[in-house]
Amino acid sequence: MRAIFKLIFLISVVAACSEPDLELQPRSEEFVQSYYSGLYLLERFRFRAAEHAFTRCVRLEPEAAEGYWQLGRVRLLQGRIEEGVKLLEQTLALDPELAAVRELVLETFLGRGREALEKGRFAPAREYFDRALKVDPQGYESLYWASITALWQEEYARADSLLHAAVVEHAEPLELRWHLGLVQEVLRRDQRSLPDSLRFADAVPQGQIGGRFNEVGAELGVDKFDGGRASAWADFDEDGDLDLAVIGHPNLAYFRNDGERFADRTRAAGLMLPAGGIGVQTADYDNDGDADLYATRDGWFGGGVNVLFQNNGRGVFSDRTEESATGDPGSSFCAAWGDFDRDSWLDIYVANGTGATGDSTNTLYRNRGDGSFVNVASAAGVAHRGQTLSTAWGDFDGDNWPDIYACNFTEPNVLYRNQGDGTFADQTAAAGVAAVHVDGFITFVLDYDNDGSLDLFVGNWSQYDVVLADRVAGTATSERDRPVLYRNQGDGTFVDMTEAAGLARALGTMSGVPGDVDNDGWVDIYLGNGGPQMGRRDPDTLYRNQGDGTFIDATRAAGLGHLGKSHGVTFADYDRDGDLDLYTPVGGAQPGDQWRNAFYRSEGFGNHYLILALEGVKSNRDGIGAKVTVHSDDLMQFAEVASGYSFGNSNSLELEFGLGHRRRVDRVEIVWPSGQVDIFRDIEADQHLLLREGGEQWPSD
Amino acid sequence: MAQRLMALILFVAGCTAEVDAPTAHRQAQELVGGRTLRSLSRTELAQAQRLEAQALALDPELSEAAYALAALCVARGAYEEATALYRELVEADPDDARAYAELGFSLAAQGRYSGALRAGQDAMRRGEKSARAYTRIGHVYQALGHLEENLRSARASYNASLQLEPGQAEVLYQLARVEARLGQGEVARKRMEEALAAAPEDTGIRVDLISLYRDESQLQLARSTIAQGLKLGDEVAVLHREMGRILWEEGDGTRALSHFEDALVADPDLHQVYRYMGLVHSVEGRLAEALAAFAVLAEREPDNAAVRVNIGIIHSRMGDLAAAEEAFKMAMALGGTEGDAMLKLGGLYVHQRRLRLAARVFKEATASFPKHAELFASLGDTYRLLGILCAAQQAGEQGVSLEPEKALWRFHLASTYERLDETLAWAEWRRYLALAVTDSQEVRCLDHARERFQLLAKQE
Repeated sequence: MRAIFKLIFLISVVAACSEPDLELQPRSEEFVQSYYSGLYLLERFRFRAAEHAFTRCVRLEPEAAEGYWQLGRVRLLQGRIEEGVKLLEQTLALDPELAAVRELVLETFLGRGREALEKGRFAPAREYFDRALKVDPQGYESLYWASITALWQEEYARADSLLHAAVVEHAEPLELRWHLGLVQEVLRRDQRSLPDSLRFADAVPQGQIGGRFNEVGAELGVDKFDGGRASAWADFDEDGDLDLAVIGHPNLAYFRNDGERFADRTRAAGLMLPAGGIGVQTADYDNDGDADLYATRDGWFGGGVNVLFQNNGRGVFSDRTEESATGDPGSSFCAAWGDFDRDSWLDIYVANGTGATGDSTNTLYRNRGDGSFVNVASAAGVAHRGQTLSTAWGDFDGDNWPDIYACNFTEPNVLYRNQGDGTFADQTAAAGVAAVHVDGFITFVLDYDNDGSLDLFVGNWSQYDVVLADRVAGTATSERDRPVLYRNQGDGTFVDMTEAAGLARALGTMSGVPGDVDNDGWVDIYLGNGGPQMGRRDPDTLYRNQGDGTFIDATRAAGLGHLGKSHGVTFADYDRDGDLDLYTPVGGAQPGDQWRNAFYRSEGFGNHYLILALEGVKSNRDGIGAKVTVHSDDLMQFAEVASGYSFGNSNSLELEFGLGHRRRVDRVEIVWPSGQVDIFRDIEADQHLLLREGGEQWPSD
Repeated sequence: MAQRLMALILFVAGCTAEVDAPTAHRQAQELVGGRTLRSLSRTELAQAQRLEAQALALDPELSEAAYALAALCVARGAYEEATALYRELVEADPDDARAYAELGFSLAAQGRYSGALRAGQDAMRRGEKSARAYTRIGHVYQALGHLEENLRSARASYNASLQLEPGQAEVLYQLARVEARLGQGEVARKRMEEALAAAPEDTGIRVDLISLYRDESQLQLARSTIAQGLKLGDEVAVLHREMGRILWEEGDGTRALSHFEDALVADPDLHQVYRYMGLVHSVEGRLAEALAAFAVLAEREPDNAAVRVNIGIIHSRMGDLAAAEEAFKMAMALGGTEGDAMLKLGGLYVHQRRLRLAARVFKEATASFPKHAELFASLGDTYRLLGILCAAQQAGEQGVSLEPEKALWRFHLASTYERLDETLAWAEWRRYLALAVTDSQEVRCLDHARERFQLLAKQE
């Protein structure tokens, strides 16, 4: 009886339910066999055989929609897009109720459009998105991607109209409003003309700063166009001014400072590196008086082993990777130079992160002083295996032995205390700097509160939606998505001051540098932001140090805020006028996401300065690791000479001290890595000086 | 999609209020009876699906019913519906690695690779690190292989799968394909050989191995691989087709045709064989037979533009220029063949001395296919014939810049320069001669070129 009931039930359901009509159409056994065989092959990515099976289905039963459907799907998977779409349209002609097929057509247009966009083929991308708009004129994805493509094509009026339509249809996503606001700026319209319902309500307080920057990359000839990654400054050709090395994908470039402009001398300098890389760090590793280069390469994108270029003098280089044994094959992001054993020869700590091709164990190359290095990371206890993207040296506990801070993406960071015997001890917990609650991307050291001890900054890379949500909230909406500013309490232990310092807001930080931009005597922070999505356009950020333990966003006031994907930003006084200029390598993750690198020249802030270059004698020649304290009237500043941090970039090795209104420096104290202490007294402001270990003092330009 | 499923679930629930969820689920499982889902009849699949839907409607927390229902959707190719169910499972338990893994699989089968990749990675983060999981994520990386880094990730994923379960033919096969795409021909061949050794009955692997042998001009190995396959007797049609292609490439049209015919006997649906048969007949001058073979293919594949081009070529060789024109136009209407249909139509017009029409076709074609050197060269030559020399020069130079090593384009360009600038012409003839002496197709033009070069040299 129960069986009969079941049978009746099944028959009634079969008869009544409209959804399963498709599978319950009578089909021949041969069709069914071929159909299932095709599905099985499709799932195993055996497209050719699947195509054959479904072709047979279509021949056996030309009125069966599902044959065309799956054949269309196979064609799409084979990349035969137009044929696939046509078959799907045939499917819909046979069964207009198949919503899944309509969605697949839409997804196909969106997917192909995005692929074209990522490859930088903007016209075909636009065509695909236009077709998507025909299928789904009000859809978020169609409107979003069509408008993003218009932005890439610099068709701002079209972007404006699409974004208007998108925000009206989809009020929630902040990204649409943000982009609409950006378009208004480009079109030189007042954002306030937008009704509240369309406007992005930016709650980030904007501060003032007493000067501006101008973008002069093209004018100076340094607007390299590729996937820009990092930059490094040094007087490579020893002519008294700072030259620029820039790495990206696909290559390394060397721009010689010729005064008015920079000249691309890459080939003549012997710096051809066709696959490019991620980071470029400069130091005089052989103590011969000229600046050498170390390029970290594999990162996320591959590129090969790291390369060490030795400067033969006057800016001509030789590849010494093999002899030096520094060709780290790991997934290297950043490297930093430091003399960990204080033998006067600079060593390298390499952050090997989470790349696709190489190992992800950090290496410490000890410089043997004869041009060769040896990896001592394991013996030294710093062979962290994980996702280190950035690292920095610094003497955090004031014992004159340089310690290491490793910034690990999605993992706790690590502070390695140098024990002075060739080994390091993990002091993370004791120092309180694990930063377990954030996804750290970059790190650098600075003394932001002028108390004479090194503080730590950890930049966080956050998703776009979180970044925008925080802009609207004016603060961090998620504990995990914010940078961290650790204040050194003077004994090598730290406290998290991010919130108090006004920095608790999510950013897509991919690089950053400290520098006293306005020469007021308090070090500011510049952060290069972005992300790999083609639609992402978040501005870089300049945080001005207000001298009271807090920072304020002064990006707009300073004329900064590049909207691209900034990596490896650096400060240097390239024109020797006493203020810091800013170089920004810009590049995304996709072949189409390429931008021109930007160069922001400071037009001056009207304050006084003192710029110091150091030359070690007993210590390493660059004085890397030297601790410099500058006293001027009521102002005391502290800095350490460093090369390689953040995203594998190097500011100029000169130390720039802003003095505000002060015209003299009372005292400069240098504690050299050798242990020697030199004191220089009563120095005029507004000059560039070379201070040699042992007490000699020379003009440096 | 989720709404449709929910409607079905609610409907079924309404129909069946007196059966409880575990019972409905159990009934579905009894119906399946441990069989592979695709061995069920379509009616059985539908019945099982309804029972699972019923179970789920009665107890939305019964995740086993949701999994079973999703698997049934996958079994009948309704990947979108399966995706909706897996998404529900993920939302219900964000730590459920299996749900992420299956979600990734259903997305990949739809070609939604970015989502599939995210889901696959989410599954792995939650501990799903089986050989199957690595294989599936390898597939996804492979599908995203337009970026080389993804191909490298595919390689790593397949290798990880093989480390966990060595000797999987399917994985070795996919790994071989990835190696080939990465330009590692020798490694690809080795992996493919290993794959075939592990699954000698797999004709798909065999055919791809044959293709690798052919790429390396290892025709003897290709033949023996085919012969082994024919002995095994599985999917012989494809193997006959491959043997036919090799024989044809070696110039043995008669035996090639015999294999093509055997292929069609074994599988009448192997339509592409007609194309090869048509080409063999065409090369050997049997135009009527060639036309017949192409016509069969055109009938079987009405959207196939390439075969319309073949038909047009045969018509033009038979002197039926009107039919040829119609065929080329049909090919263009069907979406063309990367410019070849337009090239042939333009060529036909040139042959008929309808030069303005020819120039118009070539011009349109170059706009659509800006990397097609022959189109530019042909456009330049047509402009030359029309006496529009600046345009001829521009188009000709573009053709040469796109394919600097192709002698014929230089021949056309030199002919244009002859009427513009003798110095340029002399230099271009010299470049042409340097290339043409080793190009067997240029034998007929060489004398003319030498003559012009020497004459211009004397005038210099």
